[in-house]
Amino acid sequence: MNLIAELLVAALASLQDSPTVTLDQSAPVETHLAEIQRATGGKIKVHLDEPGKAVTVKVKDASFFQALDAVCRAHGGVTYFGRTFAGPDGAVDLRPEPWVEYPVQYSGPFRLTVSEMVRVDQQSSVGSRAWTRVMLLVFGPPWIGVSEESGAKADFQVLEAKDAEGRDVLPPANDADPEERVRVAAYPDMANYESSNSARKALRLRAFDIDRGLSILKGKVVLKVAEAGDVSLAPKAGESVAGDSGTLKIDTVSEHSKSIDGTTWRIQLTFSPKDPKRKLRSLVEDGVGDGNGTWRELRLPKQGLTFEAVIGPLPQLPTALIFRVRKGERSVEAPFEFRNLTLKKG
Amino acid sequence: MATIVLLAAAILLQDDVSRQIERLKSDAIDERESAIRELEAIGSAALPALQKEAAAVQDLETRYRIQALLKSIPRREALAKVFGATKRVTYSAREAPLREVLDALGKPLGETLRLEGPDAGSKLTIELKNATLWEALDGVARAAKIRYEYRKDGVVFLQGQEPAFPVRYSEQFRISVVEVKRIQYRKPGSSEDLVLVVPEIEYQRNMNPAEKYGAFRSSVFEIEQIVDPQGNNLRSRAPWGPGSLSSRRPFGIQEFYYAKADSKTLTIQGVAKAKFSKLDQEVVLPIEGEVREAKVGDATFTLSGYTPGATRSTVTIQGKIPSTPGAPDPPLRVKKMMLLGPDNQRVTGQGDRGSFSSTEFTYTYEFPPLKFKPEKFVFEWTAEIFSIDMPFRLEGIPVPQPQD
Repeated sequence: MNLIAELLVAALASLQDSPTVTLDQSAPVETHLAEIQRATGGKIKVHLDEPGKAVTVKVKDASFFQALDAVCRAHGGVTYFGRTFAGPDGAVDLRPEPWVEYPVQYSGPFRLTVSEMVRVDQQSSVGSRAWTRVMLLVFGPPWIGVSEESGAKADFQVLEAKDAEGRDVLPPANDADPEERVRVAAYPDMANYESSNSARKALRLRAFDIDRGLSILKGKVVLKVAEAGDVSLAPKAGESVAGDSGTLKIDTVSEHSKSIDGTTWRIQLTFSPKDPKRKLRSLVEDGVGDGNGTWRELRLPKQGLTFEAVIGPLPQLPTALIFRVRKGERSVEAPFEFRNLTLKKG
Repeated sequence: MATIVLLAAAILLQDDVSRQIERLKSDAIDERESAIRELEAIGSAALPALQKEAAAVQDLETRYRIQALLKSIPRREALAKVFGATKRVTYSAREAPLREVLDALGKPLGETLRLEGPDAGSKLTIELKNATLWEALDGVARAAKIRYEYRKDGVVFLQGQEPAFPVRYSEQFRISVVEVKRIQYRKPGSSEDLVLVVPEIEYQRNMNPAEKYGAFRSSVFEIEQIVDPQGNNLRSRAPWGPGSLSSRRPFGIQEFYYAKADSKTLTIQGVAKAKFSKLDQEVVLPIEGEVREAKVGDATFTLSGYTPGATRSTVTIQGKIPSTPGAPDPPLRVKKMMLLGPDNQRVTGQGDRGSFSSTEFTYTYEFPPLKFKPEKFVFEWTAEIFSIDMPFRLEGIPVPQPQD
């Protein structure tokens, strides 16, 4: 019993041949979503105020996000858009909130969205300057992690940006970020951030009239992605599991604390990669499941290959823990080209 | 004869006080600012006349300025008792080289004044009369058309000028604005045009804040008003949440506020509240042994847990402390946490989590993986605190206007 290896998800979609779905009927939302899941393999969780509401959706050979957006748009009162749209298990989480249209581009299985624009005119003891930031989000479907949190990397590249008058608003190459006493771009709604399946970049451009917007914003997101497979491991010191990228072994299992809700355990694990140069975050994703459908985020260290999973409080130690182990890493590109890009003044 | 001289001096002084009080009512900001500085320099001798004027004056703005002086003047003596006298200097020069001026000011101010960029031979004319450290540094920067940074290793003068932000001087402190941003934010369903204004208290380097950075946010400035020149309220909130400061300068405590972008200038008025440590005491708690307790005055600290680990080690302590009204939260009074091993091995840690009331706290500190077996947990406890309230009003803060 030293080695228990169980791949729970066998069929993973290929990155090159992105799965598509065709919807052409009036049916309950749940039916459309079930068809999207069946055709693409992308997990969707749904919480509706009004279950069974029928909507008419017509899309042909649509990507996961194209189809999902069409269903949300037709319903009008359900969305997944937000800072975190998927949990540690990778499933897209639909919740009952009004559907809001953003400028969007579908690029293969990826969805690219301009969510906000900010113009800052600054007078400061560290210098007076003006600049604009355009927030660009890339969403990966449930089977493709796109953020560093999920072990991947997203490199946002702007190739062309012109304001409404056609003036070039790309900053010069190697132009340093403005020095600020208070960094507005660091605020939650304006910052670069990553969640399990999304990565956001606040693209800095020269100052322009944001109410007139951009005549063109063109570029690409270069993604280093991999497929994630669920791997089950019994929570006992010495247990290990071998995956494509290496071996995951439990060093210690100890009780951390007790409360009326149960016991919390600290489980120390070490990953032994086949390629010793690989970092932990490129090998294991940042979620752990307790085998009963509940997933928690892991606090993976940026350095080293040893990490801790904190499980609980639970009445008893689970019989199995699920880790998402990455394999088949490769680079893909998601090009985008937004024209006449404006965000309506709310 | 001596009595007559003293009497004459007293009459002259009261004449001066009356003249400065009249200048407080001026329509010109510079005139009012100058009067405030003069009255602060006169000190407690100005208090009776100010109290009389406060009761009589009708104009609310003037009354506010007088009331602020009635609070700030007595504070000088209290501050001097705790932190020593304010650094002050009297100096004048006409068409003197910059380097010569800095050399002359360095010693009386007790500061190292360096140049990084500006021409040491450039000429300037300056007159400083009983000027505080901050008035002197600002005076040099203004006269030489340069700027300065008050750094840990001294004062460095640099090329470029500060924006024309209003400044208030109060003994060891300089209260001003360091940054103003006009922010246009667009998002489907939520769009705002706001101004972000960042007031700051700078303090002399001999002073030690009792709270560390993040914790200052709730207690440093109590802004009563952000208004336009007509007195209309401009205070606002940002849809993206309060956010946090991401850049600070040493010896400066900053805060930020949002206002509507409806005016070309702003006035902010309120009270700057700062807490400085009068006394920090070292506390040493053994990691092992039966007695893992230490007393500092009426405070008792107990080490209740030490957990070594491959990814991090943690120490948990419990404190029982006397209630101190106005003091920072107890965990913020614990500073410079270290684990010490044999042969002076040491590693510094940081706060992780805990709970507290005004008289008790339990807190866990985390440390990186250790390469030695620790023997002691050591920290500094802020045993005595001095709170300072400084009423202030900064008028005519310019709001940047978008220009493509």
